[in-house]
Formats: sequence, C-alpha cells, structure tokens
Amino acid sequence: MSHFNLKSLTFYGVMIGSVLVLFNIVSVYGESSLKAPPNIAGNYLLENLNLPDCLKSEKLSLTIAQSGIYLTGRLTTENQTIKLNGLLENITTESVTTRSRPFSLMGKTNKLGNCPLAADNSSPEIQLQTQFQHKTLVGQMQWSNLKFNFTGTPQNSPDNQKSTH
Amino acid sequence: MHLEPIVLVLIQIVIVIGFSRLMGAACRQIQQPLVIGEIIAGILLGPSLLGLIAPDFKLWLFPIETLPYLNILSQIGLIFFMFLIGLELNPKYLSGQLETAILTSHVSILVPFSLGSILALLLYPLVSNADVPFTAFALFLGAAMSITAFPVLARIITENNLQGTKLGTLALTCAAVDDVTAWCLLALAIAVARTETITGAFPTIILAIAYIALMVTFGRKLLQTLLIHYKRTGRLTQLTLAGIYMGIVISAIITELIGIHFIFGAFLLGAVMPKNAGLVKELAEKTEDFVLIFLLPIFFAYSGLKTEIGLLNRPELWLLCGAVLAVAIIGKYVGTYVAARVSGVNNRDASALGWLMNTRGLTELIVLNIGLSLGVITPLLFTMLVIMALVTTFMTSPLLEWTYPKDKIRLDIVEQETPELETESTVPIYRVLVAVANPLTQKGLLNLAIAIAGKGPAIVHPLSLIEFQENYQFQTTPDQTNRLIKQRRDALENLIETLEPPEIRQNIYPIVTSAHDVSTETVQIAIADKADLIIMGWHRSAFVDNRLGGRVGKILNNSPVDVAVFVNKQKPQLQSLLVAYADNIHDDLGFSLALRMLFNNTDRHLKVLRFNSLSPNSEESSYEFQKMLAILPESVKSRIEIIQIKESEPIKAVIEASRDVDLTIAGTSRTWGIERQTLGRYTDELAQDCHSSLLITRRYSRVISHLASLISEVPVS
Repeated sequence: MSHFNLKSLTFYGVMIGSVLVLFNIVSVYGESSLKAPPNIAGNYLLENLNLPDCLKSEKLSLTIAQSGIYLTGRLTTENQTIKLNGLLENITTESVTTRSRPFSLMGKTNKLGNCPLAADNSSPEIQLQTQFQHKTLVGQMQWSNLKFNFTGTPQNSPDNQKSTH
Repeated sequence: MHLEPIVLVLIQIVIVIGFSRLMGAACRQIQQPLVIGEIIAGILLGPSLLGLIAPDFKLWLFPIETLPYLNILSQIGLIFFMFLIGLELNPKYLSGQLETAILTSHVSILVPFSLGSILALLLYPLVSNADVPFTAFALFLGAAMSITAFPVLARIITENNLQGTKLGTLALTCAAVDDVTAWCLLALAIAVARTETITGAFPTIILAIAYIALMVTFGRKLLQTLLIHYKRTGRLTQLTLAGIYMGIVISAIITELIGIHFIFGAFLLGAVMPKNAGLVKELAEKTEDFVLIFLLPIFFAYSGLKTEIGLLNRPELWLLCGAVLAVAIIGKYVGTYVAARVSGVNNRDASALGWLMNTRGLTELIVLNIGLSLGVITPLLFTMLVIMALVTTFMTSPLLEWTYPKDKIRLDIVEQETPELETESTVPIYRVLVAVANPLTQKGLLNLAIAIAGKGPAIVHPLSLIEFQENYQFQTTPDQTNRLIKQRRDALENLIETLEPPEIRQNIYPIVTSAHDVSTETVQIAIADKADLIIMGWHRSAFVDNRLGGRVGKILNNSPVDVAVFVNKQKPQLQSLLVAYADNIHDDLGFSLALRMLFNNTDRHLKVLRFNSLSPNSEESSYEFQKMLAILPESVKSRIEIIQIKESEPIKAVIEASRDVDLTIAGTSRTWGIERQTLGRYTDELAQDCHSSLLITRRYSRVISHLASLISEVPVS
C-alpha cells in the first residue's frame, strides 16, 4: 500500500477524520455534561475561634490540597502537623460556581496543641466539617470531647497554588 | 542546622547525582535502561519514600525555598536534552519501510489517543477541577497515552542488537514518526490549555506552524553555513559552540513566547541541524555529558519531589491507576500490532513492535511535568501517569525478550555471518570463535586460530564486540552504533586480507556487534554458534593482579565451550610445538589442538613433555593418551616426540623446554600452576618465563572431539 495513492490517502483521511469526530463528540459531551469539582485548595488561617483554654495560645492553620474530589489537608499548630483526608462529593453546576458544597476532612491525633486526649474518649479521630461562604471557609472542628466553630481566611503562600497536594 | 539556600542546593545536587547513578547501576544489573533507575531515584528522594520514612530530613534537605533553584536547573537541563533528542532524530531513520511505519505509527497514536480521550470522561469529574477545560484535559490525557520515547526505545534497540534487523529499523522509523506527531499533539494540548478553547488556540497554532516553516527553510539554510564552517575548520570551536547554544536558548524563548513551550524550540533546532556525522557526533559528545550526568538527574529529582505515591490512598484510586495503565498499554499495543499485521509484518515482529512502542520513559515524564506545571493535570493524576510511564518502560525489555529472545537475535547474527557450507560427507564442521578485542594488534591470535582450524571443513569467526559502558551516550544511538560496527568490520576485514595463504581467508567470517558485557556476550554467541572452541588473548586486568582474571577469567569460568587463552610472545612461526601433558582433561584438549595443528601443516612437529603425576586415574589417562596416539596416521605420528619427565618442579622443565619451540600448550591444571581456582601469581610464572608463545587450554566438554573433522575414528575422552 503506497501512502501517496488515492486509496491510502482516503484511508488516512477516514482514520484521522473518525478520530477527530470521536474527539469532538467526547469533547462536546464532556464540556456540557461533566462537572469537575471546584478548586478549593489553599492555605487558611483559622480564626474567630471559640477555643478551649488549652488551645487559646495556638495559631491554627489549615492547608488543603486537592486532586479533583480527593482532598488532603494539614492542620498545623505551633509544634504539630496533623494529616487529614477528605472527599468532595455530589458536585453540581451550582456547587462548582459557588463552591458551596459542604465537605469534611478527617485525621487522627493523640493531642491537639496543649490539649490531651480525654481519658473517657479514646478515639483520636479529628473531624473538620466545613463549607465555603464566598472566599471564607466556615466550619466546625470536633476532636475528643472538644467541639468548636471556626472561620478560615485565605492566606498567600508559595504553596497556595491552583491545585496542589 | 541552618544552611544558605545555595549550599543546600549544592548538597541536593550531590545527593541527587550520586543516588541517580546508584539506582541506574542497579537497573543495569537487571537489564533495565539507566533512565528507569534515575526516575526511580527521583521518586525515592521525594515524598513517596524519603518524605515517608524521614519527613523532617526530607523537609530539611528539600525545603520549599530551594525548589525554584532546582526547577530552573532542571528546566535548563530539559532544554538541552530536547536539543539532543532533536539532534538524534536523523532522517535516515525514516528510510526503512516507510509505508508500514507511517501506517503503524499513526494507528499507534490514534488508538491510545482515542481511548485516552474516552478515559477522560471517567477521570475528569474525579481527578480534575473546574478551572481546567474538559477539552484541554482530554487532549492532554490523549497525548500522554500516545507517547513513545524515541531516545529510550533507540537504546533498547541498540542494546538488543536489533538496529540492523527489519524489526529494529521499523521500530525506529515508527518511533521517530510517533515522536514528531506526539510533540505536535502536545503543542496543541498546551495551546488549548493556555487559551482554554480550541478556537482560542488558533493564533498560537498558526504562529507555531509559521515558526516551524521558518526553521525548516531559513533556519536550515543558516545552519548549512555552519556546516561549511565546520568542514573548513574540521572541528567545533568554542565560539561556534557558543553560537549554537545561544541559538538553542533563543529558539526555546521564541516557542515559549509563541505560547507552546520552550522545549519545542530546542527540539526544533536539534531536528533541523545538518546531520553531518562528524558535526553531530562532536556536538552531541560535547553537550551530552554535562546534560545527562548533571542536569537530567535534577529534572528527575524535581519530578520525583512532585510524585507522591501516598496520594493513592484508597482502593478505588489504585483501580483508576490500573485503568490508566490498561488504556495506555492496550491502546498502544493493539494499535501497533493490528496496523503492523495489516501491513504484512509477521506475528512475532508485530508483537515485539507493540511492546517496543509502549516505551514511554523520559518523554512521558517531560510531558507530565508540563501538564502539572500548567495545572492541566492534578498531582494525583500526575502520580498515576508517572507510575504508568515507569511500568510501560520497565516492561518493555522483558516483554521484548519474551517475544523476541536475545538467543534468537544472536542466532540470526551468527547465521547471517555464516554461509551455507557444502560438505560432501557427514564430517562435522569445526568452529572456532576468536575474541578479537583490537583488530590492529591481534593478527597472531587469528593466525593461531587458522592454524588450529585448518583448511578442512572449518569456520573461524573472529568476534569483535563493541562495548558500551553507558547506555545513554550518543555513541549508543543506532546510527552511531552501525557506524562503529562498520568501522570495526572494515578493520577486521583488512586484517583478514593480510593473512596467508590467501585460500585460508575463505573460511573466516567475522562477527561484529555491540554488547554491554563483553564476556557474557562472547559466551552467548559461542553457544549460538555451536562453537567447538573459543580462543582469546591474554591480558592483565587493570584492577586485579591476575592475568586470568577480568573478562578472560569470566569466560574461562562461565563458558560451556572449550576455551584456549593465547599469550603471544610475538613469534611469527607456529612450526614447532610443545605440549605440557600431565594426564588431565585440560591437557587432553591442549594435545588435541596440537594434533589438529599437525594435521593442518605437514612441516609442523610436536614435542610432548609428559609428566607422570600420582593421579589415581593416571593409568586410565595414560590408556586414553596411548589410544589417541594409536589412531593417528603415520604421517602425523612420525612428527611427535614424547619425552617423559619426573622432575619435582614441572613448571621449570616446561619453561626450559619452551626455549626451542614456537608455541607451548598447557592445560589449566595445578601441575602447570594454572589451575582455575588458584589463578594468579602461579600463572604469571609460566606466562612470564615461558620462552615461546603460550596457549592455555581449559576443557569443558568431554563429548566434543577436536579431531572428529580430521579423522573418523576418534576416542571420546
């Protein structure tokens, strides 16, 4: 088969054309029907806290890294970094634009700042239930027998990129 | 401990280069390309291992503030590496089976590209984010699936000695076409990712096409003047090199400004560079060492720092990773295989081609880093695709070995070099493999091989192996390897032309090929050739105080073929022979070879210095010796003189007797101080003090008779 004759040129034309049509169909469908999660990655300083005494002197910050719906995070105190994991689920067109979908981040730690794990509560699980209100993160943190609300304001840092883990 | 960023960067570089080399060497041990080891080294230094087992140390060694420096170094490395890839891309590669290659390479891109864009439908909602347009994501994923790493594939082909075969040339042509097509696809994906729509990317695409056209026409013309200058001066001056390097960077800047990526500019300049053998060789050799040894490992390390296998922390993520891997492998393999079969390529070659085209290696890593830096792919998808690149590159060599075994390739090489000999009777053809390291200095070795083989039904294969220490030098590109093989073959053929008498030359068929381990390859070729004897020269190893150490020792110890090592004392004649015989199988071999030499030349005579050992089998051996003598024709027997010796120091007796002969032959036995296990200074005594040339023999097979092709009734010792 010589690729300069009409037959093979037609073959290549049909082959490349089919792939272009396929890509076009996939592309149109993807653009119109598929919703990827909104970008929520960033560094947030946790403020306005109704903090217990053992955490009052601490500066708490939350770093969220994101790969699609899969989230990882770091809750940082003065001397401690707690690793967190989470998922962004049930993405809708509205939630993509407003980033309004609530999500949670979970991890484990035996102490939080100067607060020890309560003797009667052996579960070291820490949970942050949160959602965006405009650019601010609002939510509630729960660990041991502690439960308090927080507000997260975005911080500029070299880490704070579009989407990074 | 606080260190200035520059000090930390320097420490990072030392660790990165050292660790890359270490991992590269480990991969070489398991027959994998060096690049795999370097990629793995980068990953291990990142969060996937070092960050996991020593997070504080990793944070100290690679703090965030030093990463921009590493990034810049790695990007500079990438620019020059892309130039080298372009430089390596020779239109010569497009000459082999172009029709089949064009069809195969197009299908091998279109199938994985289509499957990749369909896979994007599954991946986009899960691992991308809303800032990335679906079209750019799908285009990028499709391009990532379609990649074939031309440079890694070219090395695998050279390593397997496929460069001269139909499969090798077809694979190279396909990969070259793939390479160019995939870079175009990537440029399109980048343009779309940056402008967010296909229509928005049109100005970038038009500018890119205009720049390519400019480089192919005006750029090439300008570079022709460089070639004229090079031909006039005969070398690449520092000033010329400075001009070329400036050109690379300027071209990189232009493509970056156009909106594709700076790597394309560097690649393009390399691709349009005149492919004059001397110019390309000098330019590549001057550039590659620093880039490949120093800068490229930094690129791998920088990539590794961004690869976090720990992100795949859910079973469903491993399933997604499996899907990525399956689409990449199946898409490439099926596309290539079907197209090759349709083009008339046989089943085995089509299958081998399918695996070869799956090599993604370094090129894929370059593409992925661009995707990550543009934000088109997320770190999780980046990690999955890095795993895919590693697996697809890692599997190529074993799968190629499975479909196209090296033994088969060796057999093809040997058969190619061996004519169909017409023998009238059932007399077996006697085959001698002569390991010729340097054709200029080993005429004596070849003369000896001819003296042993004779004019009868015999073949002498002078084997010259071109050893590659590194597997990523310019020297190891298929084109360059072919050039080196041709040079060596010419030298060998010139040597053969000087051998006398002329009729002896018709039985000599040189084998020239490349190898990474000369001793292993020699043994393997001897097996493929069904050689009766390997003859090689004696040399002192640079590192071991043992003349039978190093390569010679390795062949002596590992070869399942009889071996003779020649210590040439520059005696032109091989008329008077001396065999030091002490009733063991290695001396039997020496005696057989001496008898062959007697058969082959009626002027030769042999003195056998028989040492009566206290060996329990000496009577039996003595019987074998007598039996061998008994079957010899009188014309041969009359030229043999047997002398019994009973001295306490047989080596001295042999040395003394060697004064009057041209060649002394001794087995690797304790009697002569050349036992294999105690090789070393004892061996040196005989080799150094022997007045004639010396042939040390080591028998492996008791079945093979070295006299069978000369006389019909031969005892098997």
